[in-house]
Amino acid sequence: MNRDSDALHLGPAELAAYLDRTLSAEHRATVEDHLAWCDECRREFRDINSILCSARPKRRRLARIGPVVAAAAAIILLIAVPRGPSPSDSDLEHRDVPVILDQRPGIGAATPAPGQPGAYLLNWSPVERADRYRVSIFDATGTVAWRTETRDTSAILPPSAGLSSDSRYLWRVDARVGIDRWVESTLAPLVLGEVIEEPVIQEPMNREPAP
Amino acid sequence: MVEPPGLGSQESLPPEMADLLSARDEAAATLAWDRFLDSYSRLLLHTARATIKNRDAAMDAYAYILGKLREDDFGRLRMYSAGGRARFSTWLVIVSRRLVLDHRRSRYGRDRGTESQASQERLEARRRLADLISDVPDIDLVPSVESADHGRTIRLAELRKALEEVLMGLEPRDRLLLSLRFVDGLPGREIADLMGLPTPFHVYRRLNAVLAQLRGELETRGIDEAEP
Repeated sequence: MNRDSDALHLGPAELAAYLDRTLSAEHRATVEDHLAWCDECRREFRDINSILCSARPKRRRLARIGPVVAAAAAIILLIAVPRGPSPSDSDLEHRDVPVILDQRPGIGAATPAPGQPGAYLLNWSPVERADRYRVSIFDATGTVAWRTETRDTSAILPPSAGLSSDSRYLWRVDARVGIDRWVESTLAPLVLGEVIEEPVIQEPMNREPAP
Repeated sequence: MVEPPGLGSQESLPPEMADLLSARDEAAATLAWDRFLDSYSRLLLHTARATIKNRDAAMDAYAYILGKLREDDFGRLRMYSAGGRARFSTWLVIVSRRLVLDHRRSRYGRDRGTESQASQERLEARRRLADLISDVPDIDLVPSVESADHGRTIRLAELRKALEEVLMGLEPRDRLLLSLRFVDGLPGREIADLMGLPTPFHVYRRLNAVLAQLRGELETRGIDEAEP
């Protein structure tokens, strides 16, 4: 498509305004008419757009795709989410209890394990939806001195762990509540050889579903 | 093309530019220039490298850009303040790229080989467009008037005129779409990016509609075969 328009080309300000989409509809049509016929200006238009896209990575494209993605997400939600009766009409007993993200394992006490000399029993409170617990004991330098994982809410610290009753340790329990999602207890002191305090179990923040 | 008056309303100048253009003395100008470079040297270097692949040549071009921008008391940069609705960075990239091309031409001359190849590619693309819209022969392949078969020549000239008229009847945006696709041979993704369309599917859907419109227009003029 060649027309006798090569003698006059788009000026920098005009081309820049077209690229930035700040021209009026009428002026925009004039520029597009010129671009359609003028190979040289079209080449410049393409090159500048390419330079700007690489200098401002993804910004332009994302800005345009954004509304499309949002619309697609809305459509998927409308189609995929079951349109049952409203919550007030439904039987709430059949609804899943939501995961309470601020619920943490409550650290209990370390007590001598009955019938196992030199071993200690570590207890903590359960966390809803947790399918695994990870117990970590840290020495004074913050290094992990012992670690185990269990499905239970207690674990036996064996004598083979090599922890000294003269040293002070900290321990923590992490509860796994989803794929690669863990909630942590607070760090608690662990002194072996004595019961350091009355076991204070932090009760999980259970929330009853609304009636 | 002359800058239209609609571009007169300018956005506020970037602070680096405002400092540069309002500098009262050499010391203030030097300070403002340094500040300008802090903000825009990466963009200028990026433009030079994107325009010239050779690293050394790109660095030469970058130095050339800086020299030219500083020339005549920042005369080129003052052109932006004289009227710009676009963002300064967009405008600066265009000006810089033009300077890079000027620099390359002044040193190495025009790249005839590349231009010839590009011209050949455009010719091929036009053929593809002609094939798509009704087997009308490419207007660039139409024989001259001196051809022996005058009847055929006249018919081909009529076809050429009809095709140009039909193309002129399209919206400018659709003509640009056809040029990007069939003259420049760009893929749908790149065209979508250039024309602000959300996806390549929008490009192809619009192309199909435009080609159908062209076919229809040509048929109403009694043109539906390649040969006259």
